[in-house]
Amino acid sequence: MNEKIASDWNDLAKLWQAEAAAVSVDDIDAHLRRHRRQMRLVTLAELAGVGLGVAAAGWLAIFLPYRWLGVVVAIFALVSATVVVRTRRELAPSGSVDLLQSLKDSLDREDWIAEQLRFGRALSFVALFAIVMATASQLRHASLTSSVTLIAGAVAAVCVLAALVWNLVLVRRANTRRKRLEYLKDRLKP
Amino acid sequence: MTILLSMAEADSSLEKILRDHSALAQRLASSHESNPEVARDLAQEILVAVWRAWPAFRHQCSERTYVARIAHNRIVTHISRAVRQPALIELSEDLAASAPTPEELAIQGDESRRLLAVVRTLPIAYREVAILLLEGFSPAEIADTLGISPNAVAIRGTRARDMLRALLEVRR
Repeated sequence: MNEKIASDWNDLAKLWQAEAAAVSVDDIDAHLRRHRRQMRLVTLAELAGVGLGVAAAGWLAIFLPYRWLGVVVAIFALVSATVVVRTRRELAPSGSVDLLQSLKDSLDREDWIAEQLRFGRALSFVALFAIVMATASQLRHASLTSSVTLIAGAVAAVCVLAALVWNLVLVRRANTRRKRLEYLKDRLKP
Repeated sequence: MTILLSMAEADSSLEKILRDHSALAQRLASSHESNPEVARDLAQEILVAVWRAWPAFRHQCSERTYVARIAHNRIVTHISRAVRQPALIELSEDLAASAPTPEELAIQGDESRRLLAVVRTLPIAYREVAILLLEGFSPAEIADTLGISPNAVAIRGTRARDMLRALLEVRR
């Protein structure tokens, strides 16, 4: 890089502004299509998860005489799905907010997401407790063999534990995001 | 008819945004993301965000300040969500040697790309100001975009200029 460029800021600015490829309407269209495709896949995966939960609940309630276990799993699957949909809502892009305020808003949103995830974890523990109690009650009073009762309880518990594991993965991701946002905010504020 | 009209309006506003601001979006994305593919995708995401936010623009600031704010908001989201992004490394203010070597810069090709590579090595607080100064923003516009005081812009701007010049000299 020559002497002139290093010393003359205006030349440097011209050099900087010369570097850019054009973006066409077709590029934006392809980007939106790609985004929609990704979101469809995510939605399908989430629907499959909820569907599995509801199917397990139906199996427990209809094919086995464990109505309460089925109700617990069904409620858990539907409430979890609602929480997931609510947390996935994107912030609307705003041109009225400066960078530091945007970082603050993003940190506030991470706090809100952490709150939803805490609610999800609490719900998981309540559901697990209800499953254990229902299974124990069935073992004491039901006429079916204990192995069928244990399998039914295990299926219900696996549904809840799978959601709990996913919750913990999301908590880890949220913590990483939070650290990065705090890092940026700390270095940007005057 | 109404739908067709609104689609036509949307297309024309998108075309205007692309014509006037796609270069700015591309450069802002490239200065925060070294992977060209991801940078291109980020620039497109910025432009989509600008397009969606455009109806809310009330001329309370200049168009490019509005675009730069939205761009920064998207970049913040990108940085916080990048899955495979390595841990952010902050340079010390005394021009650490972890910047690209002369060989790396030579491989990178033309002067614009060298400048971009050097800008990426600046500590984040100075990089933000340097990028907007290079874009031709006034100190008041930079303060408005970043949310810092004009004094802080002046101090960081001077320091960023010095660091950039020094880095370019070192790697000459």
